[in-house]
Amino acid sequence: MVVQEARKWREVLMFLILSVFIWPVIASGFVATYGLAFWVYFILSGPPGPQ
Amino acid sequence: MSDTPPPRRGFWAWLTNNVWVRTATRPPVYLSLAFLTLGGFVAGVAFWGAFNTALEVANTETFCVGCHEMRDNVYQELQGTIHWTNPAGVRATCPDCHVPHPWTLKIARKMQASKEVWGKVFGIIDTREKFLALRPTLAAHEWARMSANRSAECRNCHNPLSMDLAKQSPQAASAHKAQLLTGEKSCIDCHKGIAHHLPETAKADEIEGFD
Repeated sequence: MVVQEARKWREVLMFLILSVFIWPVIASGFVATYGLAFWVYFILSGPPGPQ
Repeated sequence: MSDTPPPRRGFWAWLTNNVWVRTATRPPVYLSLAFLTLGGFVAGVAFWGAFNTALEVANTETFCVGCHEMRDNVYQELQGTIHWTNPAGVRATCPDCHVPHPWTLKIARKMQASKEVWGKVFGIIDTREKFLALRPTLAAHEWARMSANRSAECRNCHNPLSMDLAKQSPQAASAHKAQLLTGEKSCIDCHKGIAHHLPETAKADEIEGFD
């Protein structure tokens, strides 16, 4: 029973770590990489034209 | 010789045997699917809100002039212009002219700002003299950007088709008719130095694209 309690606690904590920290960091990093890629692209191709 | 392979060692073994990694990568025993999806949903909404709030905070004049490089130089110059005070009471703040609206271009501009953070950290323009020395370069970047997008940021507020040419000076009206309405030129191609001082003319003459 003690072991199961430990696992339950681990699952809840891991859920919080994933949802509050890890996925937001990955999502932000994804957006940052996206922006960086376009910056590099504009360096090579010149500034973008009208949208 | 045994049939079972020897236990793996090193980082990979440590990682796959780590109790937290195993907790994260295996189906939970105690948390229901309903709870997990709801939790993910709520966290997603919170993240989206926080992300956009942060993006908007970074798109305010207060944020832009948080660095003395901006506050003491270009911000002071803006305050003498028509884009600061005017009869209609409409003010153009930093991001109105310098941050594109389309999402991809906005994010790209936000990433470019990391170069400005770099400049701040290493004091690239931390004195008036350094700023004046770099002004032709900085201005040329922005002029090239605005010229390429046909002055998109100007056109977020100004529309050539809404211009009452009869109320413009004859010189302005004929120039707009001949070059703007024909699409030959866009705002920035003629209206440089309207919100900030121009680079010193001696240097400006050497700048490509300066008429």
